[in-house]
Amino acid sequence: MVEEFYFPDNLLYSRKHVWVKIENDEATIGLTSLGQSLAKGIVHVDLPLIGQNVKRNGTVASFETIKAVVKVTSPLTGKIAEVNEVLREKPEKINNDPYGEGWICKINPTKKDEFKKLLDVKKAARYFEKIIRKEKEKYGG
Amino acid sequence: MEVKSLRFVDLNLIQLEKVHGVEEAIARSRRFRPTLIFWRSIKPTLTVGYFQRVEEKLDLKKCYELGIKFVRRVSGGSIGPLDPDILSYSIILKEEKETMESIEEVYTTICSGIVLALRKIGLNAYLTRISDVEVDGKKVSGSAQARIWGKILQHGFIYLNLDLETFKNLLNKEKLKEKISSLDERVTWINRELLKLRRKPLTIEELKIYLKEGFEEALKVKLINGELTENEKRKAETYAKKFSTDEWNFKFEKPISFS
Repeated sequence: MVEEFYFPDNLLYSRKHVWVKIENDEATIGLTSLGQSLAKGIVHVDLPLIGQNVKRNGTVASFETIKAVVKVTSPLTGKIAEVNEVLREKPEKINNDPYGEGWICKINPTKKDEFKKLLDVKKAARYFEKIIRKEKEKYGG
Repeated sequence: MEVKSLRFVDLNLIQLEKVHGVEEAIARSRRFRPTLIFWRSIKPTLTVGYFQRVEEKLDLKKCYELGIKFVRRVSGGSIGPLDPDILSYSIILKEEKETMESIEEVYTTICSGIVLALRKIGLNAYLTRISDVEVDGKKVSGSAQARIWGKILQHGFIYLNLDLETFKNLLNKEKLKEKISSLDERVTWINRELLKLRRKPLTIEELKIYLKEGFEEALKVKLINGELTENEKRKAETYAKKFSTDEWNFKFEKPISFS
């Protein structure tokens, strides 16, 4: 936990509020609890196409929330293997269950050395704790 | 939200696809400069929020008959009219790297510039529903935002005059019956409100002066008059192309042709 935000131990994280679960040759990604909290209520999601190539730090998906469209940044380079079709009808799953039913897509990574650039939960906690403290100072708690 | 300096570019009358190309060129520039743009659609056009389904919201046959096209934008929100009597703005700022700056905070800061401008004109303007500016209960300005290319892009419109009847005619009457019938109660324009106060109508150039002052006060920055760089102009032409394609504009549907 970082303040009131949950970061599961078994996941890796990018600095752009995306979690990554690597199993066999596949990486499942989604928004962290902090990411979905910053986004607020998500009302539409634009998912990538299966087979689409994505680059690390490129846009992999986008969503609309309180009249702003926000891009989700891919934490890895690879090819889209699967997308969470449920999000088309129920985008709120990203807010309600960011680590479970709110997963966004699965990527077959092609540059495995990029895994080293992801944060484990300890590093993620330190990184996001600084951000949360900065935001609280800015907005007075 | 801190803005240290802000380039101001007046594109005057321009096609909607080209403005979006300019926005993208500025945002993606390696020598990025925070920029405020004023522009007006050179002819009546509809602007469509990124996730909108045009078949549900528009009478596409009527749009075709009247020669009024629509262009999907990268930001959220719904569908609205644009024409030479509607002053539009686009502002592109750097997003703070580490955080997703509060969407509401950015809307409030920028849109308060519009509120200040309208109050200077003498209208009872206020911000409502995060990004709408109303005068005496009716919407006179709206804005939409995108967090894209590592930047904050916010753009919006201020109705100086408005051809509401034509706009209502372009909407899907079956699916939006109630919304269409309530538009007269919900929407207004600056010169209509000035007429009620027996004040002389404003010109576009006069509105621009008020709006520039409003944005300077709201963002606590002095606008620096500037132009697009040659690189930005070149890139803008390339990026504008996708906004003319059916693939982009019918993004969530199959394109329909009436020819």
